[in-house]
Amino acid sequence: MGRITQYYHATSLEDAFAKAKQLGPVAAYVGGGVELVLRRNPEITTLIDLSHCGLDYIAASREGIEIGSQTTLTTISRSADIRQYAGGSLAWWAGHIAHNNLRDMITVGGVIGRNQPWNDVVPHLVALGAQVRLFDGTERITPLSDYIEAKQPGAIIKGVLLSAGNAGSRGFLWRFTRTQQDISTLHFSALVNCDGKVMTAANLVFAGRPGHAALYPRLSEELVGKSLSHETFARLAEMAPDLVEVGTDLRATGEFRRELVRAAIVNLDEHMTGVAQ
Amino acid sequence: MSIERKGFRHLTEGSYPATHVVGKSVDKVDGYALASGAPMYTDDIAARDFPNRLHGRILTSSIANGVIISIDTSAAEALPGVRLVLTWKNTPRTFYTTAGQGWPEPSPYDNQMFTERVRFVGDRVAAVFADSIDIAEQALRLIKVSFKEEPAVLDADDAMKPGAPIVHPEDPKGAYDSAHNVAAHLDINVGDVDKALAESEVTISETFQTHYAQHTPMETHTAFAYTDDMGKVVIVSSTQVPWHARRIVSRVLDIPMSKLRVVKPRIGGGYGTKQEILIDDLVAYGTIKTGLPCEIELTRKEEFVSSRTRHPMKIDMSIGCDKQGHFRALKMYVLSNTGAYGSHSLTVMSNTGSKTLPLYNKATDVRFFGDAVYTNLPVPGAYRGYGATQGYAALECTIDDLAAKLGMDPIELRKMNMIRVGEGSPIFEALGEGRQGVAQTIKSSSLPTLIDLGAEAIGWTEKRGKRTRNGHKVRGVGMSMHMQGSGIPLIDMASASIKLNEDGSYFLTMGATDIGTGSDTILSQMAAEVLGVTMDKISALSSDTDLTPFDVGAYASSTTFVSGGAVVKAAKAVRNQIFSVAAEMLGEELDQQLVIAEPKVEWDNTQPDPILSFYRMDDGNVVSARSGKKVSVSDIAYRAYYEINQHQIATTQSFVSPYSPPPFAAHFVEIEVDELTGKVEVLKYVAAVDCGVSINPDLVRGQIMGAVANGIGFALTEEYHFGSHGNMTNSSLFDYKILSRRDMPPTEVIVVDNYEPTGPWGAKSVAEIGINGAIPAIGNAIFDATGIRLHRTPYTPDKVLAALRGKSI
Amino acid sequence: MTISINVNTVERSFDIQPGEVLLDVLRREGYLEVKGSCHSGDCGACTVLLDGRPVASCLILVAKADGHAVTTVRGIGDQAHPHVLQEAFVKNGAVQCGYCVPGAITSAKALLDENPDPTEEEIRLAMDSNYCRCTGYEQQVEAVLDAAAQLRKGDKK
Ligand SMILES: Cc1cc2nc3c(=O)[nH]c(=O)nc-3n(C[C@H](O)[C@H](O)[C@H](O)COP(=O)(O)OP(=O)(O)OC[C@H]3O[C@@H](n4cnc5c(N)ncnc54)[C@H](O)[C@@H]3O)c2cc1C
Ligand code: FES
Ligand code: FES
Repeated sequence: MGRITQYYHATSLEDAFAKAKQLGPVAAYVGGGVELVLRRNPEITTLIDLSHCGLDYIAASREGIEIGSQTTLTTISRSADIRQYAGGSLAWWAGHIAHNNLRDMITVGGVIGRNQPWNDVVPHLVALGAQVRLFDGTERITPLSDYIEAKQPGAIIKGVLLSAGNAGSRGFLWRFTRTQQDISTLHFSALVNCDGKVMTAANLVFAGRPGHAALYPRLSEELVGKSLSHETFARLAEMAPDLVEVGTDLRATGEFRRELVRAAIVNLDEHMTGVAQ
Repeated sequence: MSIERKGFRHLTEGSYPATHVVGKSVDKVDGYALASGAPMYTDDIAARDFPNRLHGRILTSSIANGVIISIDTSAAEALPGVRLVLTWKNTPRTFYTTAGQGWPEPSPYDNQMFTERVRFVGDRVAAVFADSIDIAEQALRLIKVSFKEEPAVLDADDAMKPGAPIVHPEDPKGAYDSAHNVAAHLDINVGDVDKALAESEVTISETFQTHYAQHTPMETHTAFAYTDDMGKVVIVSSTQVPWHARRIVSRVLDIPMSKLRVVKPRIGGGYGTKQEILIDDLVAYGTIKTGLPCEIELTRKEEFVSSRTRHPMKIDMSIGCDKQGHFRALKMYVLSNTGAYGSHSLTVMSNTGSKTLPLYNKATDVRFFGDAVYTNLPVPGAYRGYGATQGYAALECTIDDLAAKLGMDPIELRKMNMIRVGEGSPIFEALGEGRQGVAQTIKSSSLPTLIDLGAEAIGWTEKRGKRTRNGHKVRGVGMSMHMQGSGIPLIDMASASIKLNEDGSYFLTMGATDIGTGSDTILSQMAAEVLGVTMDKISALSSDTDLTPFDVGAYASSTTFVSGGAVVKAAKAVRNQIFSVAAEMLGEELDQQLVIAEPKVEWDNTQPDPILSFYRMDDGNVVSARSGKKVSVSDIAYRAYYEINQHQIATTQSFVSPYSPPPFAAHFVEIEVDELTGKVEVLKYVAAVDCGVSINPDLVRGQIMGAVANGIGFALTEEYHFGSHGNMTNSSLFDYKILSRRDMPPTEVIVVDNYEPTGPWGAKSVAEIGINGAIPAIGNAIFDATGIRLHRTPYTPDKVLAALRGKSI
Repeated sequence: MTISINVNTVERSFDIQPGEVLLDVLRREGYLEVKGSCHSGDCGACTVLLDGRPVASCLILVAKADGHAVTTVRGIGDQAHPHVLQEAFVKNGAVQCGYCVPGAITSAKALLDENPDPTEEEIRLAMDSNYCRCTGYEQQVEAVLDAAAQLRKGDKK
């Protein structure tokens, strides 16, 4: 990263935003910095550090849980509140993806800011129905799924909100990797809400296909109002491979990924019904 | 002796002499230094001692095959901070091989420092030395090269076809038939295999294909060179073969050996890849041309693309036997892909047969033949297992299929046909390292015990053929059996020097190259055992072409056996010199013939060392058997160095053996196949090994564990992906997946010691054998679980799934 | 720019480029116990503790460490005064070529500092960045279990 000429420790959100605005595209906010170091974008000359902006927090309230954007995966994995949330799927996976020293570096803001196609955190947050709190002079809240579709250059991700409404639902993440440390060949996240044996809401997200995280409302609908049974999931497993967009890259062919899509649904079935197929 | 703990069982078979240091898991001599990060690796030393050194970077080819029409380095040379730019135009044109092997060199001379012709994506085009890495990299981008691209051979199957592009039109010396891209060829016959196959009641023929893989040492190839005050060029290099490195660099650069020194510091892993002279020539030439210290540290990408890999092989395997399963015929044909250069092409291929087929010595008719062909792909070389790994992939899977055909338990079939103590195999003599071998008779083997213990540990009888289900996953067990060698008989030579210090401690210098294996430790143990001292009395130095005696280097599983032999001989010779002074001091007679007789490594119970009936070593003292009197070794040293009849107590001894006793192994594995994804998970791995006497059981276990981990990675996840130009597309640890700490399955190592009479303190080798089991044992377990035989490695989920879905792959 | 980092309990100030990573600065300043291998966050060889937490020094911007504390393996213990983890690594045959070991011990130190009685699985998870191509991991995991047991007994620190 020979071209970086300035490392700016912002003292507040306002300060950081003002600096970024003044410099335009040559500036970048620093989360964990992992991607910024790895990708060495030659355009960027100034790094704006957010670590003194009070963004390293996890706050639980009646509305839900807010995770400050500077929070690392390790911190997320240890939060008692997040471990309770939606069955604890986010906390568990935040403690298991990538590897130990990266989990202490990667920030939730950086993950969203970069949103690589194979990233595991973003699709899971999307499934959990997370929202982001943005700062671009003023604060705004917007669904994460919208934010990743239409990024707001310059806006600072202040925090991620997990609404209390989903706290009692069941979060699920299944990913296929070659080794434990590998990135996802296919990522599948789900949030399912049940009323007794009937599913009342579902969010299904696929990522690493090799495309970016995307919600599949058509598949989600298939579960709503249906009973928690193998038949329901079997139907879903039939449909999903044709609906989920998959492609070929280093890690797998599209054909193999279609098989993985089916496997993902079977794993969700086993998780939800508690019985192995 | 018997140690049992979770994951490790250490047992012994037979009887042998009592020892006080040998056989103990003493601390590794460099352990504390390494565990606290002492600056002992090549780049550490360069950074500490030569902060102002030049940094080298290599420009590599982006095309698979072609000729450099023009190369313009003027812009790069003009960049401030650039000190030297090297291309074919300004470097020596000597033909040589990068393979660091013995002399005469068995690999073809198909390499030059730089050439006008590039032969694979990753081939050397130019090198730059500059004040910083950044400047060197900028300079690379300023070199203008234009190529005339030519069609390339990107598949070994096409290499010998008429009209195939010729990778080495210059017809290198030592290549078998470069006009047809054949770097090396072998055809070894014992009996008449085709007749025997035709006459066999049961026959089986299968073809297996193994893949490219890389050693991935944590330290990439690193070397630096400087010119010392006397004008000598000193290369400090992460090499497994300091002497071969010196010999090759001396020849390539035409520097006399008296002006060239190679120093091996601590090495961050080698596994074979550092048996290759890849950058030593460049840093030496750099310092000669600039007068400044020059360093090159390969990037991880270069380590993958431009250093060395494992030879992919396509192996046709046929076995003929009677209805009861008695082998009569073994026929193995190897098509080995040696990439753009023929480094180790002949010898790796010969080991594919010579280290595998003698295991089943009941076969009377054997043919082993093969071609190692050039392609425009990355260059294979030496890699732990050295061809045997590929050979066992084919042999051990075919045997299981044959067992299925015969309706036999695969273990029974193996036991019926395997080599036993007192037996030999005609292959030993017919096939050595690319040439005639040396006849061998097995003098020690725990193999029958290994099979029984391993089978028990995995639960063979309860689990085999049961296809236990766990949801959409199904389980199976598999096994395989192996031997390797212990050095190359009558070729590998090692030497060691020992001198006595006044306080009764010793300085041991040896050529043996500790690359992390712990050879400095176990060789010190062997010396301490002979000299009757504790480990703290031995200080060891390895290896430096100026300061330590010769050794071929760390390869061919030779260090424990061959270098160990040299150390034992040196220790005995020095001990005898000490006895001689002791006799003087005690006023006793001692036959000088006994003192100067060449010490023996072999142990013979019926003929103990005759000098020991006069004196023995005991905790820093010499004890007279006749008078019971004691004299301390320190007093002996003071007398010999300062007082009476003064002389140096020291020796240099060398060892070359007609024997290469094979270690044996039986590997067992239980796996689970996910029928939805095709993913194979190893639930448990058992490696049972006989390496003679374990000089240091913890280090033995570590060698086996490391080899098993690498083997499982090779079997399941490690592979090269290629683009349309033969360009590797996953050249990083991000995309090339070795096993992480969480991927390693529970693994039990069972070591059954068995005194090998020809080895130093009864030892054989252990470094390589552990890598051979994973592919066949897992392949056989997949077969047990699913009935599917995979003929291509690695066993990646897509392949397994396609086979499960009945698709041909 | 100039930054100050407390390295192994000593306050140091370093002249750095704003885009540099911690690994490069540490090695330039003579902390050669920190080893580089992949330089891309994949292998864990370069692990150091930043305020007690393990990080990949090849990916962390050195400027981020300004005003913070860095511990290298030498800050954990050295040859003359080895930490119980270093001793356990040697005693359990967990050191082969040793290249991965400074990083592995550093990860293990962070684990034991907050979990004195880890399970084998917790150890593997807390050190999963640290690739080792030599040992197959088993003896390294045993070394950490061994060190933890000794530390719990309180006869070592
Ligand atoms: C070896 C390796 C393995 C990995 N494996 C996995 C894996 O298995 N699963 C997985 O999910 N991920 C994995 N990761 C990826 C990791 O999640 C990303 O590297 C992550 O983006 C890094 O986060 P960071 O905080 O360091 O980001 P940074 O590099 O700091 O930032 C990334 C981008 O986001 C911007 N940004 C940062 N913070 C903010 C903010 N508050 N507001 C606005 N923009 C911001 C930055 O300007 C930059 O453009 C892996 C990474 C590596 C190196
Ligand atoms: S060198 Fe930092 S993780 Fe490999
Ligand atoms: S000891 Fe060599 S890499 Fe771990």
